[in-house]
Amino acid sequence: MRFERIEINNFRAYYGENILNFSVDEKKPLTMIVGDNGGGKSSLMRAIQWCLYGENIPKILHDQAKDNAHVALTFSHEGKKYRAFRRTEGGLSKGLVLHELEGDGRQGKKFQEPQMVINNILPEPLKSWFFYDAEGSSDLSSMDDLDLDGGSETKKALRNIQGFARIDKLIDDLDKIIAQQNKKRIQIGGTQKSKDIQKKIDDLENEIGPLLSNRNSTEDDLELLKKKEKEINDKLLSLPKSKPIKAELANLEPLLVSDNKLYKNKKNKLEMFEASYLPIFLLKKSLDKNQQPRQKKEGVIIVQAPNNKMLVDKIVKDGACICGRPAAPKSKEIEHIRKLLLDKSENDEVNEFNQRASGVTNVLAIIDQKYKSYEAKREEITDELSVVESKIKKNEARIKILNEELTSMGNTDAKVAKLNEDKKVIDSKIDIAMRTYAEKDVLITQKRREQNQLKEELKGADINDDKSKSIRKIIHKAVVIKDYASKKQKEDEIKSLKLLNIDLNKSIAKTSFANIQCKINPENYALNVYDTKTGKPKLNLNSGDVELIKYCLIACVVGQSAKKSQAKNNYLAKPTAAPLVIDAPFTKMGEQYIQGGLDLLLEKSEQLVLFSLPSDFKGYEDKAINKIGKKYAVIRADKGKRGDKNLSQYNIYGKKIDLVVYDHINDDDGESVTQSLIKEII
Amino acid sequence: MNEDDVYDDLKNAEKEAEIALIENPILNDVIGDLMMLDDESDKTRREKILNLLEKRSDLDEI
Repeated sequence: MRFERIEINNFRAYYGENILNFSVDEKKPLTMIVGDNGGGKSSLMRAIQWCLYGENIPKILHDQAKDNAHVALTFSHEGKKYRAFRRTEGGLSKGLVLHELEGDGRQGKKFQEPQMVINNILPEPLKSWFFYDAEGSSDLSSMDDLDLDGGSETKKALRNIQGFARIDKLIDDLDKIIAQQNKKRIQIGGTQKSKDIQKKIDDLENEIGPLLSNRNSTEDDLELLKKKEKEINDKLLSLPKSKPIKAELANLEPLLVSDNKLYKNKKNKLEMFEASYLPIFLLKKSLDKNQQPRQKKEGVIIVQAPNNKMLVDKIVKDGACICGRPAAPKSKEIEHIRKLLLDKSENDEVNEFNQRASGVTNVLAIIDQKYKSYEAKREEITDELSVVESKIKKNEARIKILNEELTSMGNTDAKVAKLNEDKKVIDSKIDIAMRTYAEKDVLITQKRREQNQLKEELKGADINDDKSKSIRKIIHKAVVIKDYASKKQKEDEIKSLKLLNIDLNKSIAKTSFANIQCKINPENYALNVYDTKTGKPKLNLNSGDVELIKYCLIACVVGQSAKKSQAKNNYLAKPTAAPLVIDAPFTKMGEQYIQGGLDLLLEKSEQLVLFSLPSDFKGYEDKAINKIGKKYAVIRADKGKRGDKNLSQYNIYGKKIDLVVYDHINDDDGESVTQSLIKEII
Repeated sequence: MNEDDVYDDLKNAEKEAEIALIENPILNDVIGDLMMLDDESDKTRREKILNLLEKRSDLDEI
């Protein structure tokens, strides 16, 4: 199985249609999907599983969607292409529709039992190995489900993936057939004594029946209760945390007050500064104001200080008199003016004028200089002011958002308290159910023991088989097959487990420098971890080691399933080759092991889909650069109106992508819709 | 169990895995047929198993 394309419509966070094309390039089997928490990564992962298995997911339909939700997954398997489609109707999941696709992409054969086809390709009980939510925040399988200490769930999962659950069923069937035929045989040719023993066995069976169904229903209840407990735990984990918001507010609000104070101070400083420079300011403005129109009007330069030759030359050159009247160049008047202006000894009037003009020039220069320093200083103060102002605006906006978030959360504390109450009730129900299960189990074991003793007794009883030869033959055949299947199953199971163990240890050695190896206990499937240096059990594993072992185990299980698909060498197990989809991997693993972990997942899986946080994206991208076939970002859309629709280029996680920045508008009420968007990173 | 034991055990397992079990082709064939009945209901499946057992005369000699 290889995913090719997914179309998501109105599913959970996704409003309208969103499309993602998985990488189908065998040399670049990795599809990377990056997004923040809450961006829509988990919804995307759930969409795949919902489409294939229709599992019960709360709130499938987007809050504000008018139409039904649907998801279409196109995939290839053993040379053929398929399109799986599932939709909602009235908020409920409808059945799976599965078509084979023709070469041109048109829908061909429609399967009558689509779920069976999907289960033959990737059986539902195995899906937890192929879809891994390492954050463990959903009700899907999480890393925590894979317990290194083994236990019935791990054993069940591993036996399932190896196909042993199917042979268990056959052995059970044969057991039932043998018991049924033995009963018939005694009815036909048994003595009164053997019939009495058989009756006791039957009576015990009749007693065991209700006990079994009671124990099984208790087991189902337990499973449901544990699921509910997990849901509550997940809700508790996923509830918006008011504490950090309040903490941020507590930090921001005093900051805003002090910034406002600072702003006020700076504003005062500016006003006082302006006041202190007011005369200069007014003089300059006034001079500018008076000078400008005259210059424009008369087209001459107004004399400023005609006390030196250069200035006189300039006046003469500009053809202007000190009074502003134009004078003809090289005229006597000009010469006279020049003489008058430069003559400092004989003409008192001129001297006096020159002195006054010099004084005016100095004043003008001082005004100009003072004005320049006024402007520079003022700019400095206004710059400071605008820095404080923009900080205030930014903090005000953030405070507004935080307050809105707090309001929209409602009373989170009350919700948490209610969930904790519910959890207590569930926990007490779990306790009761576990006790009931144990009581029934003890009774069943006891009665089975009695039954077995009677069966042994029956073996020695005198039975006339003349009338039941055919029955004896069937019993013989069933017993032979059952014994052979049981023996073969045990051998195969041990062999398969050991192979998995070898593969696992090779993978660990290749991926890590931590000197650890594992041995899988065939009894309970627990992973006993050893230190290769000391040969002693390694206790107190850190979370990074645990994550490393888990990923190695997943990779090996997935890899062996795919190999089985190619070799078809084990009639007990149906082959399973499917993409490996992991949400937020390697969050606990040491940085030095991530490269090895990525390489291992890429080596063992045929197609790999990784969801990552922006903070990890670049690292994974660098480490698997040659293996990435497709890259996508899932983003929560900004708010806006449909009318504001504009295509913008955004810089997201260091990549430029085009993004339509607006929310869809629900046409009925004009309300804006928050949604997740899938955007390819090119 | 010390390190050598772990590795010996795994080495043996590797060898063991390479050696095929002594297979019985007739029984393998029957089991293969029986496994095909996997998707039936319990009652129907068991009836079918019974029918198959009755028909397979080659099992009489085993």
